[in-house]
Amino acid sequence: MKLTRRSFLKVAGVAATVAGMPLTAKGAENFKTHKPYTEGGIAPVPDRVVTSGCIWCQNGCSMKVHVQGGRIVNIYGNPDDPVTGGKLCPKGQNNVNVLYNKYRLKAPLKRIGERGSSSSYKEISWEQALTEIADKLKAVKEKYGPESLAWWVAGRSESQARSGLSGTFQKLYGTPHREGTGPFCNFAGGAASNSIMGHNNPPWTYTREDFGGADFYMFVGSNMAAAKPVMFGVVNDERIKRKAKLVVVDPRMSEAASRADVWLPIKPSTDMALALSMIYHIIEKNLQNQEFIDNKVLGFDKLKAFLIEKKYTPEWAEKITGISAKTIKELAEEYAKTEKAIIMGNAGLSHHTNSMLTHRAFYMLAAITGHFGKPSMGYGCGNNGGTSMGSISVPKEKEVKPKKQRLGKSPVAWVEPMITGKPYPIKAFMSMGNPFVMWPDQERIRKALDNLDVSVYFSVFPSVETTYFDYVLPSSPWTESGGVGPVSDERRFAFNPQIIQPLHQARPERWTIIDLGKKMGWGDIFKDEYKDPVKLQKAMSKKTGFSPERFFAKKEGALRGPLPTPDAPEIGTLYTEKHGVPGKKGQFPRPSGKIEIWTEALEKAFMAQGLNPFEFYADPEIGMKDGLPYLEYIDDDASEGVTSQLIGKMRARRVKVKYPAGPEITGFDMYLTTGRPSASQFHAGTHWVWNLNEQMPDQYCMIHPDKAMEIGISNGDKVKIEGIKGHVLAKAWVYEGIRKDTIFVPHGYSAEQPFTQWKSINFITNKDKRCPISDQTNYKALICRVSKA
Amino acid sequence: MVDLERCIGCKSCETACKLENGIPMGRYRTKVVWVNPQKGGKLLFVSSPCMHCGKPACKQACPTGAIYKRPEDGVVLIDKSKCIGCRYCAWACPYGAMGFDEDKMVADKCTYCAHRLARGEEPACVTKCPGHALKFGKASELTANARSEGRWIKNIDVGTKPSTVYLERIKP
Repeated sequence: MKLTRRSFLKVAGVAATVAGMPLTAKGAENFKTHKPYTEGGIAPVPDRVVTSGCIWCQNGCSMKVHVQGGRIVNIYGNPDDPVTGGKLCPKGQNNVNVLYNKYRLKAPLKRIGERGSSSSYKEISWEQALTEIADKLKAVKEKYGPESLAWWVAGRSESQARSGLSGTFQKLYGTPHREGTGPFCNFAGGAASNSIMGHNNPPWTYTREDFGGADFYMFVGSNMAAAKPVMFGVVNDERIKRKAKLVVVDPRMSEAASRADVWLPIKPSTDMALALSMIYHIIEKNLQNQEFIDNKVLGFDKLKAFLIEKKYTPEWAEKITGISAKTIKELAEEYAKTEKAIIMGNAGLSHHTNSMLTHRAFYMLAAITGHFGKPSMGYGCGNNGGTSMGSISVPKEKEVKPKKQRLGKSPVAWVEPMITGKPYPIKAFMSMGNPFVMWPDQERIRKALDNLDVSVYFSVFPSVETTYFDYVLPSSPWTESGGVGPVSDERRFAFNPQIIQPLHQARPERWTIIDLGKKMGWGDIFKDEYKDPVKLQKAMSKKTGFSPERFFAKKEGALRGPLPTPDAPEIGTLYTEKHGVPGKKGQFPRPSGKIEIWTEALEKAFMAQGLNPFEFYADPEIGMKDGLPYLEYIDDDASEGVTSQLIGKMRARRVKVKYPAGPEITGFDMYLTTGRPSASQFHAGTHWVWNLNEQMPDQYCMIHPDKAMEIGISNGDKVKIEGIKGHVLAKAWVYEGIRKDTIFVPHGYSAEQPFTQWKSINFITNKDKRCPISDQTNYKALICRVSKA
Repeated sequence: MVDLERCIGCKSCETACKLENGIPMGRYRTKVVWVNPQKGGKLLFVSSPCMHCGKPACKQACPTGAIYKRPEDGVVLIDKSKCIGCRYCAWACPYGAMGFDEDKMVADKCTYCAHRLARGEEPACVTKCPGHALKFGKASELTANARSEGRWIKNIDVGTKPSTVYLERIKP
């Protein structure tokens, strides 16, 4: 829209109306009950400013916490942080409203009635809760074997507890089933990177010299403006200053796409075809970096032969992706010819059944054009995990090795074993995240707890899970807890000092795991002194460089891994000739020391599950609707399957790529894709914080004006979205910047949140359709029909 | 100065303002409005603090003289002890920048964080802005810098001579 003087006033008028509009809040939830902690006055001048790190996203921002009279009164960015330069998004700032929040869980709860109601719970003491939980965990181990405990160590809890202590607990108990958020996030990116580069992390750091310094950016399935606002702010600033080019590939004009020079509205599920056809064109035009390939890449000829055999041309890709062959060719040529060129992928690529192969295709594209080895280039995906900080060691004689094969990478793979007992039962479940909002197949997931002997939920807020699980344990967030924040995309951890005492009866998860470990009879390992985050960090980091002293010596309070030894220096760009990956051998730490596009061993590993490492297929619902190749699953979650050779020893599912003769399903005319609603939200948790919820309060349905007109809906109308699995409602956002055949509905909303209530879009997503290699769920390419509700 | 190209729509300014000035749920001193793309255009974000006008319409409309323009730096402020809550100022402001404090029943708006300016600091929203889209300083210097980057100032003046300046989006 051209913003004229007149239309600007209209916009300003909207601001005024929005400010005065009644909110869609239930009951008495209005401004009178949600005043900021400053009670309507200006923030006081702090008597103490403490350096801390944000708990939310993988931007990993360093923060300055303002404390006055023992209370946290404001949060600013840390101007001494070389990555963020003192900038901070709404989530980082709202950490303060997470602490002082009237909804917080205040005491441990035990279920004494039917599931599904908060009145079925009574408050109990920590002593009683942990004693009973430990007794039940021991009984499950005795009766069903240690493999029957599953623990989802998700959430935004600090890393010492989440990845450190829970791992120690796992080794002592003997279960293979402990998993973080990766399989719902971007595990596929790291797995693809491991399989081709020999290490999970992207090459770059989020500094202006590295990620900020490219001349060409291509974001594929990455709305970085909402996912990592502070880093996107730097990219956008550099783009304007240096006239760098930004291309965004996304079915909708996201916030990031709205800043781009070129927006390519690709059909959901087909990004792999785009990458393969770009490679095809580069090879055809002989624009590959042959010297780089000869010296540093294995398997180029195999790739070339396969693409030619399959005729993965730009013209082929045009029919699949909806992006014209001409555009694909121009894009490929510009990318190949620009040295400082970055391609960034994210959840838009990971949340598909072809996630592993799609990420690999983009790695191949970067590799054959020589885009690795220097700053400001390469391919990488966000949220690809951390590097080892160390752990509390367990004496060999005490470690219990699981006897049964782990059932899949994704925690969703635990659901059928919980319900059906096959191939063997899971009988105890502990969760630190929001499975009843964020997992696919919500209807089925709700049945999973019924057959369990014990279920335990760790939480800050009384989310829907607190009316289903047997025990609810209140967690202390962030500065109440202290500890290490989640790792950033670019391998940084920030240390958070404990600044205030835990409020109510909530406890840091670190304490809870230590006390539970003691009740299990492992008091010699789970020592009380480890409740102090500094002492625990000291003990954990004996062999690595993540010591408290090193954290505290940094102005930004953060360290970048890998730091394989106590005095290992922090390294910037990875995969350079000089540094490679610290602690690993060679520039590209694959067995060959080269980037492995194809090897015999890799092909065998893919073939064992029925896949060819170069072959394109779409997500099942898309394939069935449009007659594109898609996966048929030979194994389901209740079967033994085979053992994965690509992501660690665990059950993997076999598949077959099916080439349908034509469309196989009718009655669904639209594609459905899901994702983050805006920068203010991080899944379910942020909806419990008034200032974050009010920034994007409603589950919306972004829909093109032509489609809206066809079904007779206007902006703001309630619409019904019906998928194969079920239906949900959403508020129509009639928006020109989306494909006419696609709607976008954000995730993270639920019917049990305090300010606005929406049945989660995950009642439509399907838990059984997952990437056979990475085990990631397809959240982003489904089919549906839309009507006026 | 608000840069419409640099703004990434994250609403960090809204939060910064609320935390610094104690603004509750549902009320705003600055708000980011997302303007839908039209006719092949792009999604647009407009951050909208007070314009701190040279000739403030709110000041002219105020029957009690509660609104004044600080001579030293031109910041427009409300003397809340004089405000009678008649809301004439909100009607008069062409930019929709005047809010209302239902607790105290007085007009309420952006002060450019006057209390922070007094300490030699920038407004909270400017300090925290992830997009580097908000800048604070002498209008002549900021404008000159923007021009040297090849950027254009958007004319939004309807006769009140606003001090908050907007930079046009870059033409493709």
